[in-house]
Amino acid sequence: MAAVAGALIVASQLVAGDRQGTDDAARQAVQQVAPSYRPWARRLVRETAPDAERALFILQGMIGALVLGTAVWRLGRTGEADA
Amino acid sequence: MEGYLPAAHALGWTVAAAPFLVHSTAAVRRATGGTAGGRMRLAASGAFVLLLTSLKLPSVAGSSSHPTGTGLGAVLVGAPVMPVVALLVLLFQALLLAHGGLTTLGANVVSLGVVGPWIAVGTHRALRRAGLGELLAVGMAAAAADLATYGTTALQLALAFPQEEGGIGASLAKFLTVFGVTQLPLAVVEGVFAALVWRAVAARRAPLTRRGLA
Repeated sequence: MAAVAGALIVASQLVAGDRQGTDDAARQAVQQVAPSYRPWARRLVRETAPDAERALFILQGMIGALVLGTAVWRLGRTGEADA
Repeated sequence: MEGYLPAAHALGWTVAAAPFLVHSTAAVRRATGGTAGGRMRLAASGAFVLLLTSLKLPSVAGSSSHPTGTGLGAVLVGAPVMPVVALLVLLFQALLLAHGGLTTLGANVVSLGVVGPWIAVGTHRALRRAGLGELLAVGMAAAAADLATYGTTALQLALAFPQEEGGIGASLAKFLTVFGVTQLPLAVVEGVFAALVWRAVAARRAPLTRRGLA
């Protein structure tokens, strides 16, 4: 399961590539509805470079897949006697 | 989205999220202090959110978006646990990826960690009572949670930016269109993933009782 999930994570990042994300779409919609609105706060964190962002998303997904696989495996192994 | 919710709205949603987070902390403590099975289910739920929110899926509209993953966790370990899980994932993405944002954290906890999970639990219960199979009920609950999360985000933006003509309703329709085109197919994908993971857990002969709903 972890291997399939890993392949899926990498593939999703490569296929989706640099397409506009939800944040960008929402920002554009806000600018259309309220053109005079100016955000009152700036990012504390600098926007990550596309390749680094991809790598961080893959890392996040890999951690998730690893923990999920381990949890499912242990649920079966322990017989789950928690009724 | 840093600063894209007006300050009063950002503060209001943070205040609204606070009691859910306090309650959620107690629910997480109960889950981790219980049986090994409870801890594993909690770990699986959190990991599923981490995994799904890392997936960047292209949509037919030419943009991309992320599934949410909170529906499965809500059905598996209970909706009260999910605000803390959502907060951790949102912090990870805000601080490391500059996604979402810290000023929108309260609003995002409400949509991702509260509304989505409770919609999932309600959908799952209703479908099971209607006689649907477990797998289908879980899948549809996860899809409903995904749509409810983005629907709530659209409502939050509409409340903050009502259109001059048509007010909040017109604005809500616009934001729902923005998210809906991308999110509808993703909700189906999320439902399928959730059902597959549920089946994997069931195949390990784990009892799939809902926990922590009190």
